[in-house]
Amino acid sequence: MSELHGLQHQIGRLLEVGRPRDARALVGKALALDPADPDTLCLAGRVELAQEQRGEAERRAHEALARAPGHDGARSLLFDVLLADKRHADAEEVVLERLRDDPADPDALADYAQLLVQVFQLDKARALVAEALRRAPDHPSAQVLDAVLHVIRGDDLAAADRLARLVAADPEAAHVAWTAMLVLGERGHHRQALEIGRQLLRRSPDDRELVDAVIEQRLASHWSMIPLWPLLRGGWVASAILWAVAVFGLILLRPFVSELALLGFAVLYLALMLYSYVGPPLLRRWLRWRGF
Amino acid sequence: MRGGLVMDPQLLQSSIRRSSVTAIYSLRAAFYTAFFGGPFAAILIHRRNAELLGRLDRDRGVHIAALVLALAFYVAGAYVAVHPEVLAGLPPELKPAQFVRYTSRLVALLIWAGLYFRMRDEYRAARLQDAHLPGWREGLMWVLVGGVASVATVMALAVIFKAL
Repeated sequence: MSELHGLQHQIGRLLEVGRPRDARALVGKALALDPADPDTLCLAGRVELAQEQRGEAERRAHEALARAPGHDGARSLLFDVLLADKRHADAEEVVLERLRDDPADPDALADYAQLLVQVFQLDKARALVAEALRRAPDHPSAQVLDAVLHVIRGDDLAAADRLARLVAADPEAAHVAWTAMLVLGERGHHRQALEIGRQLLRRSPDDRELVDAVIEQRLASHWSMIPLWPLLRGGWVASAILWAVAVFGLILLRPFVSELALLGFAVLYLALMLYSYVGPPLLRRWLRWRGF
Repeated sequence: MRGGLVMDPQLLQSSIRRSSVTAIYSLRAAFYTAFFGGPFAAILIHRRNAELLGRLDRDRGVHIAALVLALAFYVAGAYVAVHPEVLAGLPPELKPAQFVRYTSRLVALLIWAGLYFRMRDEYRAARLQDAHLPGWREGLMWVLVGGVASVATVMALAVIFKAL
């Protein structure tokens, strides 16, 4: 393996394990060896994207495409930059160009599906994911998206089934752990989701999105949230049902129970509602301050 | 094509516009709008989300059904306003106006829940992606518009019932 290829391999591995700062040092060396190599330019762009330098990452992508039109890695990088920037129409143009060259490319199909989920075109996203999985049943991104789309549909069993297949294929992969955390959280298994989240956090302690997700799982599994379990589990529909039961229950029970009992029931309901407003935000702040 | 599989060519047609939305009003915003604004406000906020998602045509029937339910409630409410003896069976502590207010809220929440189930996938997708528009200003506007429209409708119907 040439020195350049060796460096490219190392940069790729460092990006995979979430060490873009270390990868950046090697990028400089790789670019010194060949500043025009499209693969190196793409890796440099990936490092910049990982460090939220989207402008630079986009410039690298265009530079790579100028040197190697149709370079798959460059188009993929450009797509990711546009997606991160929420320039969805432009991202669609890039991914459709990839699919025009190869309509059977499962990476491009999965990327397009991911884009469509962000603009709420869920039916088309499902069709694309199904297509990607038909062509590549073990495609990791397509499988993750499939699980996410099942969660969106509320089909927890199918999401859990997809998760089980992901875990069987690659139990150590970060994307599998993320999906597991999502699916388990949605199914109400917050302690398991929390444990997985903590393991992910050890690998990526600076990931803010991950920190927020783990805090939410810690909150949902905290003993002080037990009284709010129906509301946390059932969401706003549970809140509406609880209101209706409380108000109309009080009206219907009035002829049958004492004033004291009715007062107690009303106070209990109001206390629960007040706690549901005040408790979670306070606990969230406390968890951020104290750790979890 | 690879493997001889045939893909629907529509899947590879562009479908994202510059105006495609990436966020909608949250279910929480819709809940509070319905709770405080009444049945009309519940319809308005869900309808706005349907508009943002480009599915007004698809949901027209459901919105009309919700409007019919809201109007049926207002007709009943106006009738009770003109003929309060209809609620004579209520406990003496519960005034007819109070009962109508609670029922208005119940109807609003039923409409809210029904329209939520219609767009449940989109609301879930928005929650998972934390893709929500700031809603308090618009929610307040719909609460006011819905409230004013409700009162005006009931008053107009009450005038009609009195005249009959």
